[in-house]
Order: sequence, then C-alpha cells, then structure tokens
Amino acid sequence: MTQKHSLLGTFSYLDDLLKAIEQARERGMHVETVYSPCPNHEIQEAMCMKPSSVRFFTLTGGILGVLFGIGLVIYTSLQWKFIVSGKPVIPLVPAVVVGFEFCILFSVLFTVAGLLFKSRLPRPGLPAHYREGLSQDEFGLLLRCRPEESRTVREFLKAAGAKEIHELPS
Amino acid sequence: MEKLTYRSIDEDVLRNMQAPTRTYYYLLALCFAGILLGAFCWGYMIATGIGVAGMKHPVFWGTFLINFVFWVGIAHSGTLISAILYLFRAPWRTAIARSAEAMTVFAVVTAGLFPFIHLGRVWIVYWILPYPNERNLWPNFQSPLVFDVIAISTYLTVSAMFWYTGLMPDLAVVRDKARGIRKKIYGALSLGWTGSHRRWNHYGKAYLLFAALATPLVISVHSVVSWDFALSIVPGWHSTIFAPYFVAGAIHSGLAMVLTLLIPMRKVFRFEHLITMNILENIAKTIIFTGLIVGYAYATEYFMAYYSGNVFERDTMIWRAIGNYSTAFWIMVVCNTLVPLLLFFKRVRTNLKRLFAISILVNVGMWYERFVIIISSAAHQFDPYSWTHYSPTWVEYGIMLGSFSLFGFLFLLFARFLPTVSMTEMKESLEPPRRNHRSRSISGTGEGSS
Amino acid sequence: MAGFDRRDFLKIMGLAGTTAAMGCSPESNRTLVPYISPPEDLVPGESTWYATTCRECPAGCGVLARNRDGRVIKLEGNPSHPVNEGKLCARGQAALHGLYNPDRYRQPMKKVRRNQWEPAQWDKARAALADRLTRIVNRGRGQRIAFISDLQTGTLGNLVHHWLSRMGAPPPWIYEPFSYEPLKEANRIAFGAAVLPHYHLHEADFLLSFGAGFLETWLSNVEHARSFARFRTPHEGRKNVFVHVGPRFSMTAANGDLWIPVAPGDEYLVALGILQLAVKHLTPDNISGKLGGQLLAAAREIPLEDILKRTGVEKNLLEKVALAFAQARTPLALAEGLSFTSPHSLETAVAANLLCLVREESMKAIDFGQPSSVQDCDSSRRMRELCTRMRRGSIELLLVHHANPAFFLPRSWEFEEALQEVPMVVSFNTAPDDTSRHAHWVLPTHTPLESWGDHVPRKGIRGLMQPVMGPVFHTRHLGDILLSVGRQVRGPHAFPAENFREVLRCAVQKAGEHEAPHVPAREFWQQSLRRGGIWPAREEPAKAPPHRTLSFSFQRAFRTQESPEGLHCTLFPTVQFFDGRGANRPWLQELPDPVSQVTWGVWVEIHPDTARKMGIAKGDLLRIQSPHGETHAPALPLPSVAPHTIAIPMGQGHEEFGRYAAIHYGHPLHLLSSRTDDRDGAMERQAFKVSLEKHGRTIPLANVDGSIYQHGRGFARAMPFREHQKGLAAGTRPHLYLPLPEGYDPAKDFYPPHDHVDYRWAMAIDLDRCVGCGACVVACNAENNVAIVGRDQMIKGRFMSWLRVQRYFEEDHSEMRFLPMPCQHCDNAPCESVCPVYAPHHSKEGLNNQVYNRCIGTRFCAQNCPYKVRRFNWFTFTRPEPLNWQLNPNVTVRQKGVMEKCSFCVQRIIEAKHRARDRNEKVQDGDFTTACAQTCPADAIIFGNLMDSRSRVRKLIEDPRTYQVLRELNTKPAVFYLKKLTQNPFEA
Repeated sequence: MTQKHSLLGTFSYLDDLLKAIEQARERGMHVETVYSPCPNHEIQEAMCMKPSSVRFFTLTGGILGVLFGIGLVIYTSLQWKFIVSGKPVIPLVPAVVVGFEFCILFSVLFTVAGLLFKSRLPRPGLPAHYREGLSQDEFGLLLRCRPEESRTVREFLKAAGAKEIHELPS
Repeated sequence: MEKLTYRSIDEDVLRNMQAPTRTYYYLLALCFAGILLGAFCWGYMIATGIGVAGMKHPVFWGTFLINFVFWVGIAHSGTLISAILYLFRAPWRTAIARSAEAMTVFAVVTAGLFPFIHLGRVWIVYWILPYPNERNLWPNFQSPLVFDVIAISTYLTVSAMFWYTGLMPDLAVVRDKARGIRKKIYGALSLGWTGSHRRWNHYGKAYLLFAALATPLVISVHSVVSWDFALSIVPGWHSTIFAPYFVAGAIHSGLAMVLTLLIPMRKVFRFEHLITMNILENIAKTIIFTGLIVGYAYATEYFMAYYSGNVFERDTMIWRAIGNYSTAFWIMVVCNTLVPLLLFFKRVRTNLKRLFAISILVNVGMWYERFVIIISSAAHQFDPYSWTHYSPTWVEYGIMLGSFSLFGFLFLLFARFLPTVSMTEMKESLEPPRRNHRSRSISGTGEGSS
Repeated sequence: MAGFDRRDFLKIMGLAGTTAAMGCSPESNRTLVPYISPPEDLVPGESTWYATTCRECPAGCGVLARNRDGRVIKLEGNPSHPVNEGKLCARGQAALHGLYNPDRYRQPMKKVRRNQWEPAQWDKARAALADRLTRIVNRGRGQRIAFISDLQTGTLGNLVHHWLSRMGAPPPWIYEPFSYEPLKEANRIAFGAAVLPHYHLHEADFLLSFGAGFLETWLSNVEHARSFARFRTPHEGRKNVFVHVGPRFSMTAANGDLWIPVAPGDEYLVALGILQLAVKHLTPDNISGKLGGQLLAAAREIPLEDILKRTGVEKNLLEKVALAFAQARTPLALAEGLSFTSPHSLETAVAANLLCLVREESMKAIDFGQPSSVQDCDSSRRMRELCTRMRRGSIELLLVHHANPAFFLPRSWEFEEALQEVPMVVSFNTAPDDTSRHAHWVLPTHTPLESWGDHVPRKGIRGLMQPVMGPVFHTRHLGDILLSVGRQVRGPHAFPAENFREVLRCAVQKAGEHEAPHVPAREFWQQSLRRGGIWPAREEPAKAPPHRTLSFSFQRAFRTQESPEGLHCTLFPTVQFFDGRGANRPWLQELPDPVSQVTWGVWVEIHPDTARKMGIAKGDLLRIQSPHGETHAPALPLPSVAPHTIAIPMGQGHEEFGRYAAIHYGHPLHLLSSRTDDRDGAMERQAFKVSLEKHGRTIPLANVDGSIYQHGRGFARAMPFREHQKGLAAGTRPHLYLPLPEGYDPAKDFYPPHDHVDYRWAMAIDLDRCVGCGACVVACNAENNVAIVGRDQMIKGRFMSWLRVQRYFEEDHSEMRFLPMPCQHCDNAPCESVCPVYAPHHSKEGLNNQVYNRCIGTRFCAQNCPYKVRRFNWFTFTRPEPLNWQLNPNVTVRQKGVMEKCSFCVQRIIEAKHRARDRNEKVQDGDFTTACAQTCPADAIIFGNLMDSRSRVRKLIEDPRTYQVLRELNTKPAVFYLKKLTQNPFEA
C-alpha cells in the first residue's frame, strides 16, 4: 500500500462529519477510521458496525471460571479427605460460592484481554496522522486514496466542512 | 448542564491536575505520618504478639475485623454507582462515578490489609491460598474465610480493571493536553488509546459487560463477608438475614462516604456545575432508602430473637441494648436509622453543611454497627462463665488511624494525578456539537455507547 | 541440667536406687556432652518412674515421679499408697515448681549487710556453722541453740533430735502453722487422748462438719476427698447426708447437702443445739446412761433459746438436722480445730466430739489406732516461749529448716524483731522466704524431691523418699550437713554414719527385721523403695479411744461479748496455698480459687448486699482493722459468706518468697493478738469484729469467671436424688446425641454420620463426685506444657489452662456447682469447618485434632466454640530457667499466634496404642487415662473408648443423670456430664 495516501479531516461538528461519511461512501471512497472524543452511536450506525466480539471472550472466561472453581474445590478436598464439623468430604454447597467468584474473576480477566486484543492495545506510539484535538473536542475522518486522487479527496473534505486537513503518505 | 461544552468539560475536570496548594501537601504529609504510625503499630504487634491488642478470651475478634468490614462496606457504593446505576441508566451517576470507583479501589486495598493484620502468624498467611505445594496441603474451602479471600481479591481485581478501563480514554485526553515527561507518562498509562470508532465499539461492549459482571459481584462480596459471621453459631451472628442486611449496610456507609469525599472535593475544585446539587440530593435520597433498610434489619433481628424463643439469641440481643456496649448500640441505632430520616427535609438535603455532617454521622454509626455486631456477640456467648468485657488498646487505635490515613493518602494522590470526573462520559452525556441544531430529545443523555 | 550430673545420677540410679553420692553431688562442669556409654536403664524417650513421698503438706501422699532423660517432668499419685491411692492434689503436683523454682538458692549464701547476700563455698559455710557451734558447745551453752523445723517425723527427725542432744541443745521446735492444738485438746477432753485420730469418713452415714475444710487442707485432704466420695456415693437406695456449719460457703461446704451459715465462733452453739434437740429422739439403747447424763448436762449448759437467739438458726431447721442426726447409725461430726480461723475453736471441737460421743458406732469412723503425726508438732505456746527467749537474747544460734514462722506468726508476735536479737541465724531452706531473709547464713538444702528420707503421715505408714533426679543446684541434704558439721564439732566417732542415706537404709532395714523377718535386709530396702514405703497390707479396723467421758464448760466462751458493730471475720486456708507455702508455685497461683475463682492474689469475700450498703465495689482496696492489727486486701462481693461476715484467705502477703509470691499485702493473721490460749496452747483467736475502711484505691482482681450464675443455660445441672432413684427404677435412658453413627438421625441431622476406626474417645464427668479442688487443672498444665501467663495477663483474660473448673451459683445462692470444662471433642465440632487451613479437624478416632504448626491464627475456631475451651497464644509465653526443665518432651511447646486446646492427652493415647500394638491387640479400657482423670481424687473423670460397649464410659453414660452441655446445638459432644444429685432432707 506504499503508494496510498491517507488524509485526515478534522470536524468540530458531528452533523458535518456524518454527512461527510455518507458522501464519502457514495463517492466510493474508502473510509479508513472515524475518530471521536467520546463514543457516539450515530457514528457507529453511520459506519454500520457489527456488535463487538469481546462478549465471546467474556463467555469463555465465565465458563472456564466456574469449572476451575468447582474443580479446585473437589480436587483439593479429595487430597486428605478431612472431615470437618461432621460435613461430607466434598463440600458441594461451598463449591457454589467458590465457583461463582471464579466465574466473575475469569470473565473479567478475559474481557479485559479481549478488549485489549481486539483494539490492538497497548501500542507504543500514536498513528502519524493523529491529532491531539481528536481526544478532546474534534471529530476526525481518515480517508485513504491513491496519491493522484488526493487532490479530489482534499476538495471533498473541504466541501464537507473540515476544519483542517492533514495529508501524509503512509 | 446547558453551558457545558466538550472543551469546557476538559478544562474544568483537568483543573484538579494543576499545581496544588500548600494545604494539599500538608494533608498529604499528615496522611503519610498516619500510615507510618499504623505501620509501626503493626510491626510492634508482629514482633511481640497479638496480645498487645485488647483482644482476650473469648473476644478473639476485635477492631481489626471491625475495620475490615467497615472498609469493605465503604468499597461497595463505588461499584454500585458506577455499575448498578449504569445499568439502571441513572443520569446523575456520570459526574461522580469516577471518584466513587476510585474510592472503591482504595477502600478494598485498605480493607484487604486487615485480615493480614488480624492474623496471629501473618508470616505464613499464604497457606490460605490454593497453591500447589510439595506437602499437598490445600485450604479448606468450607471456611467462610477462604470465601473471603477469593471474594475480596476478585473484587479488588474487578473494580481495579473497571476503574482503569474507564480511565483509558481520559488518560488519552490528559496525554494530548500535556507536554514533555507528563505526556510520556500519561501516554504510557493510556496504552496509546485513540478514539477510533472500532475501539469505541469494543470499549462500549466491554464496559457494559463489566457493569453486568460487577453488579452480582458486589452483592456476593458483602454477602460473603456477612457469612464470616452468619456461618458461625455465635448468637447474634448466626442469622439468615445477615447477607442482605450487610449489603444494605455496606451501601449505606458507602454512599455516606461518597458524600463525605465529594462535598469537599466539589468545593476545592469548583465542580459545582459538574457535581450539581441535584446529584447530591439523589445520593441523599438513596441514603434515606438504605437507612430504612438497615433500620428494618435491626428491627427484624430483634423480632427473630424474640419470636424464635432462643434463650441465647434473646439474651444477646437484650444485652446489646442494655449491657456493657449499650452506648455503642444506641450510637449505631441513632446514626444509621434516625439521623438519615432528616434527609426527608429538602432544607437539610440541600444544605451542604448539614448534608456533610449527616454523612459523617452515618459513617460513625456504621463503624459502630460493626463494633456492636462483632464485639457484643463475642463477649456474651453461650457460656456465662466466659462472659467478659473487651476494649481496644493504643495499638489497635494506631492501626485504625493508619488505615484511615492510607485511604486518605491514596485518595489525595488520585485527586491530584488523575481526572476525578470521567470526561468521556460527561461528553457522552452532552448533546454533541452540531452546526445546525435540530431539536433532539435529551433522552440519550447518560446512555451507554452500546 | 548438667550433662555430667544427670548421667552420673542415672548410672547409679540404674542399680535400683543406691545413689549414695547423689546427696552431695560433685562440682559439675556445665557442658552438655552426648552419651558415650549411656546409663543402663535409660532408653532415650522412655520415662522412668521413681516412687517417693510428697512433702508439700504433712499428709504425706505417695508419689510416682516421672523421670524423662534425667529430668522429672510430672508427679502422679502412687496407686499402692494407702493414703492417696494414686491420686494427688494440686499442691502435691506443684511440688515440681518447688524443685524447679527459679528463685531457689543455688549455693550457700552469706549475708554481708541487710538484704545483701554473697555466694559462698560449701566448706566455708559449713566451717562458719561449725565454728559457732564449737564455741557454744565448748562453753556448755548448748541450751542457747534452737532448731526450728517443719514436721520431720522419720529418720531425719530422729537424726535432728540425736544431733541436738549431742550438742546439748533442747529438742527442736517442730513448727507447723496447722498443728490443730484445739482438736488435740478436745480429743483429750472427750476421749482421754490428746491425739489427732484418723477419720474414716466413708464409715459414717451422716456427716456434720463445723468449719472443717476436709476437702481443702484439713489433715489429709486427698485421703478425705477419696473417702468422702465413697461416703456420698449412693448405695442401698440412699445417699448419705453431709451438713456443713460454718461462716463461709467454702469448697467443702459447697459439696454438702446443706450449708448452715453462722457467725465465726458460733459453730459450737449449733452443735450443742443439735445435741439438745437430738437427745429426745435418742433411746437408752443407743445412748449409754452415764455418758448420756454427762452429755445432756454439757448440752443443756446453754439454753436452747439463747443458742437460737445468738446463732439466728431457725428452730425447725435445727430440729430436722437433729432428727436426721439421731436417726443416723454412725453419725460423724468434724471440727476444723484450727485456732485462728474462728474464735472458740476449742469449744467447737469439744462440741463436735460430744456429738461423736452419742453413739458407740461413731467410733468406727474415728480411728485412734493410727493417729496423725501432725500431733507431734509443737504448740504455739512453745513457739511463744522461744520467741521470748530470742528477744531476751538467750538464743545464740538459731537453725531454721523449711519452717517459715516469720511469715505465719502475726505481726503482734514481733517474731522478726526477735530474730534480730539472735547473733547467728542459719537457714537450711531451699528458696528465700520470710524467715530465711533474716538469716546470716543460708545452707541450702535439697527439696524433698531431691532428698532421701522417710515420712510417717500416721502411725503404721512409713513413706520413703528417694531422689527422683539429680540435684538441680549446689544444695545438700540436711542430714548430710548435720552429720558433717556434727563430725567437725564432736569428732568423727560422734557421727559414724558416712551420710544420711546410710542412716536411712539402716533404719529401714531395722524396721524390716520385724516387718518382714524372712526378707533379706538389702532386698527389703529395695522393695520398700520401689513400693514407695512400708505399710500394712490391709487396713485394720478403727481402734477405740482410751475412754469416753468429758468435763467441760462452754460458759466462758458463751459469756465473751463481742462489740455490736463491725463485721465478723473468718480466715480460711485455701486448697492452693495450704498455710502459704504454695504461694511461690506459679501453677498454684494461676489455679483459680475454687469458690472465688480468683488467681494471683488475695481478696476479701464480702456479701454483695453488705458491699452495696457500704458502697464497696469489686476490687476496692480495704483496710481491715481488728483490735490487734490490720491488713489490706481488695474486696470481692460474693454470696459465699453471710451478710454479717467477711472471709479472708491465708497464704498471700509474703514479705519475701520469690517472684511468684509478689502480693505483699493481705496476710490475715496480722489481725490476731500475740496471746496463746491457756488451755490448748494454741494461738488465741479472740472473738472480735473487724471494721472495713476504703483506701480509695482499687486493685484489679484476676478472677477468671464472667457471670456467677448460669442464666438458665443448663451448663452445670443437678437432679433431686429421689427423682434419680425413680429414674433408675423405671430404667429411663438419658436423651443424648451420641458422637457415634447411632447418634445421627436424618430427621435432625442435615449431614450423614461418619465412622470411626476402632476407637471413639470420650469422657464422662460425674458432677456428683467432683469436689472442685482443681487437681485436674494442675495435672493438665503439667502434662501438656500449658503456659503460665502471670497476673497481668490473667487480668487481661489471657488464661491458658485447657481445663477449667467452672463455678456456678444458683440464683438463690443456696447451691454452688462445679463443672470441669475440657474440650468437648464434638462429633460436629463448630470449630473445624471455619478454619481456612484445616488446623482443627476430626481424627479417625473422634478426636478434635489441633495442628499447631498449621495454625495461622485467624482465631475463628475459638470464636465459634460454644464451650469456649480454645486458648490462643497471645504471646510466646516462656518459663524462666530451670522451670522449663519440667516441660513434657512428648508435647509441643506452642509459640505466639497459635491456637491450642485440650487434646484428650493424645500423646498418652498414642503411647497406649503403641503398647497395645506390641502386645498386638487393641487398647483395652483402663490401659491408660488422661492426666486429669488420673489425678482426680474423687474419680469424677472417666476416660475411655465409646465404641467399646464394655468400657466404663459407655456404661456410665447410660445413667439417667447423663447429659451433654448445649446438646441442643447438636454438636454431639464426646464429654458427658452426670448431673449432681441434690437432696434436701430438711426442707419443710
């Protein structure tokens, strides 16, 4: 992709951004990324995102947790077979508590792992085109195009109401 | 909130991260001294023996477990506000969620110390963990204390994760506003976060799942703590009401602590328009509710004791009210159930001073609730020959002071170095900036990014 | 302990106790050297038992000392000994703390100036004594030598006599504070013999005690506890009645069916009243004419209404008692006969004897054939004379052996001042005490456990003493000192015997010549040593007194007037301290007083109502003033005395008696005058009242009891005797939750039962036999290395004893109950499941194991134990050298932060199982028992295997009296209690 250029247009207004996204689509431009200071469902819809797959991590973690918890209780209590307070050697009722806690623990750990993995985090630096305003009060629209198209794209962004346009060959 | 904009939010929130005043450092130093004192007392106790504390036969549990339960209780409202209210879509949580979560994490850290301090032989505490060892010895999973270890450590992990995930985008904001070394540090802390639409997608889902997982957890943790007592046979402890009773109590104390922390912070950082009076009022109302539950629990305990006809139970309950510890008992009743009723009056609710005073009182009351539950039952059990009277020693007071200092210390650091209000969520709750404003319901405010 | 000493000792001991050299062991090099050639009879880890005789009090019980690797670690009763039959009281067992007392003299001491001592060599010390003696003897002033000794009955006593006579000195002053002069005198008056007879309580069928604490200190408490247990064991459908008349609800009184509280000194009036009222029920055939006349005369001397008026006892109650007395076949009346406890002790003793005179049969219970040796003690009058002579300066040399008059004699005697007048005082003591601190020289002697010797508790019984281990310090045997000094003074021919052991052996072998003529002398000596003494094979029937008559007037006592205001005051000896000689034994200091439950200190028992009226609270330091002196002690409101009386224990208030007797106030005898009674020569106890005055200071009392009542929780239960009889007849079975699979019932138990392998250890405690003496507690401490925590920690409630004898009052204060509370070893033990690391868990034999090394100290188990029998090590409690020599190597010594509790003496169980395995069979019932059960003088504790249907435990718990404490909790305790049997034959 060395010959591709990426152009980032920053917008102060959400409606401009959304319009820009639609038009870019119609023009068959490739919308690389949309930046926003906070999550916004309109953007999600505009980008027609599928629900995140993090939840599958969570589910796996949960299942593993329960199995681990209850398994641990049963395995350990069978090592010495101590009788305490005249209760059965394998304590099933307490196993529920342990299983539950491990379920939660594991699902959370897996969720975090999933989140980081899915969103490619952590990473050392920031993308070259990144602008500091993007985390504060600016929306960003990152378009990719061949160098010869970059002029038209720049035009398009300006028309769409972009505050600034940064172009850089990636 | 109308005048708020994305930019103003950032500026307001990050104001707390500018160079602090001298008083801040005084406070910090004070807390640190307190921590040193506590550490000394603990070291002294380890060196000589638990005997330097006031515990005796048969009051084998003293202030250490009182403080443990107290701090675990404090820890609960954080998750309640950030998770449960999140699921319930309560808009007023947004501004306070972050500091409540921070409070949770620090409270759990503090609470987590006390089981260690309490131990007779803390140097082999790791025997309580299920780790493979050549002797093939394992913990006893029937013991409520093992439940405790698992539950508390889970809770610490989860709340810390939850808190940090929430922090990531805000740390990115700080990074982008900062220069030099700060930029590097916060850059590292934010893990290189950028608000791309994919990440927001995963982030939103993950955050929702966190909330969904934390909610049952928070209930379970304090239930487990309550089972430390309910699973024993001690009169006054052995009762099925304990789990809900403790959870309610925990939230009661937690909300009070939130007020105790927010009211000064709001003043210091001039957050009046972020943490509005309306928010404080909502908290106050919730405190009325939890206070009523707690009061109901007290009443139920007595009814059960009377109705069961169990002589031991009955004696213990009567003795609580009129025995050695009656003062503590009545402090508990008044502060936890009667004082919160004052919040029914709007005049009280909306007056910061009164609100603050009440929040302190509730904290005191909740500490005494744990005192009454633990001590008065232990000192007055089945065997009349062994009845006795317990009172803490300077070592215990020192360690207790240390715990409060530790909590304060951590919170002060938090207030200085991290955004105390979630900018992301504040922005989210705003109507995003548009060139031409079309009328749009505010129903979306506070909505998750799902 | 020096390796050399020990090996040396054991090698010679191996030859069946011919350890001549041990009396005076050589200087030892204090390095531990591993055995190169181990002594023959020493198997490392195996203990050797040596028979000797207890000298903690004159009762002279037989003792078996358990020697383990050269150190004696435990004392138990000698089962074949006629006095104690294998049992030993708390004091006897605490003799070890006399042996290992860290404050003992370690070598001879010379006083350089007041309270300043310097150690000296033995030869120098001996020389100092010898020189002085020579000077005195050569000048023919032997009469100016005085020798005070505690009761020495056997060979040592004879040697002392002989030695003194050779020095031309007067016979020794045998000083025992408890010498029962009034009792002697009363016996002379009533029976014509000034002796202390031997009482067979079990021969009686009705027992009246006038202040006699025969279960605590009176004459021979272990023996009396045993025969009392026999006395009151129900037989032929009846239970003998015991009525205690006295000013204090003492431990003995608590074991009675009725306590009649009277003011101290009025006991004799009650006795006379009973006699007067009894007479009309008596028929000529059971009261002989002439004597009967005398009796009536004596009894009628004081009119009944005066008696009732003075004592305040209701007539109908007195009548009922009198009737019961008259109907009894062999009634027995006992009087304390200690002059200083209450006034008119002689009258009381005589009056009691009158009651014994009524029936010929009563003589079956009073054996004049075996009088107690205590009667050989000198009267206080003779001490008085000595005192005067000392003050006059006519005593040049005073030798004191083990006696401690400076402590016991009232301050008004000014004995200590008198001591100052004596130019040379030499003490042959083992540890510093009130008397030896005034000595100029201390030549430390062995404790009885390190000594050869013999002791005759009563005629016909000669208990032998042999060293049960090498001497702990550089001490000598008194006999050897006397011999060598005697040789130096009078020349070798005067004292040919090389050492005391030889003297003893000859004496014993001589005795053997007519005891067992056919046995070779040396063998007889060794047999006797092994047996622990010489005594007739079987007990002879009681010998009657010379004659039964009397001439005595009670008028003098009756006429003495007391001041109307003030409170009556009674002084009482305690089961822990006897006359105070036990006060430097930490075990005894930490043993709660049976009635007051106070440890480590003195107290004044005052009735709660009186205390409230006078505004006195618990712990208020009181100044108690009598016309003759004063003493100080903190108040303890307790319904153990009548409202008009206070009671003060003896034994504390030593000026100097080592670190453990640190209570320097509260010695009650300072209330007495210096006069002696002209009739019996006893210390006179005038009929005075005392005034109380608050100091304004409070002294915390280290008492271990929380509430004195049970609050209807049925811990210590009782049932009327008749009901029990009905129950037995009807064959009612007790309702128990057995700690066996059969004890489980799906309707009630959530979890299924679990099985045990071969054994299910269990214990039965008969509350009707338990007298509350606390011997079991000390036995447990000794066996299990239970820590002594000291006064401060006791006040903080950190007591460690695994077994405690709980004392409960009934709400109406009419009854006191004792409840020994060890770990209950529940089948569903609440302590087990709450421990996060399995430190406590259920063993295959039903024991509730506590693994010290696994314990991390969460203390949840103790919090969850409804019986509160778990003990936490708040600190690492240590024992000063050489107290730690006593530690039992079979039991772990616990460190700080660890939970501990009664283990049912698991080390003994394991030992027994090993033995059984060697015989390849299972442990049989009675093969072994726990330390507490072993020593219980009343056999109240029975230990055994519940799965063995023939075991005593199993049989006992079928009694309808059996119950389990807190059974409703369904913990299924393995300790079963048998309810106390109450009867009140006098109720309206």
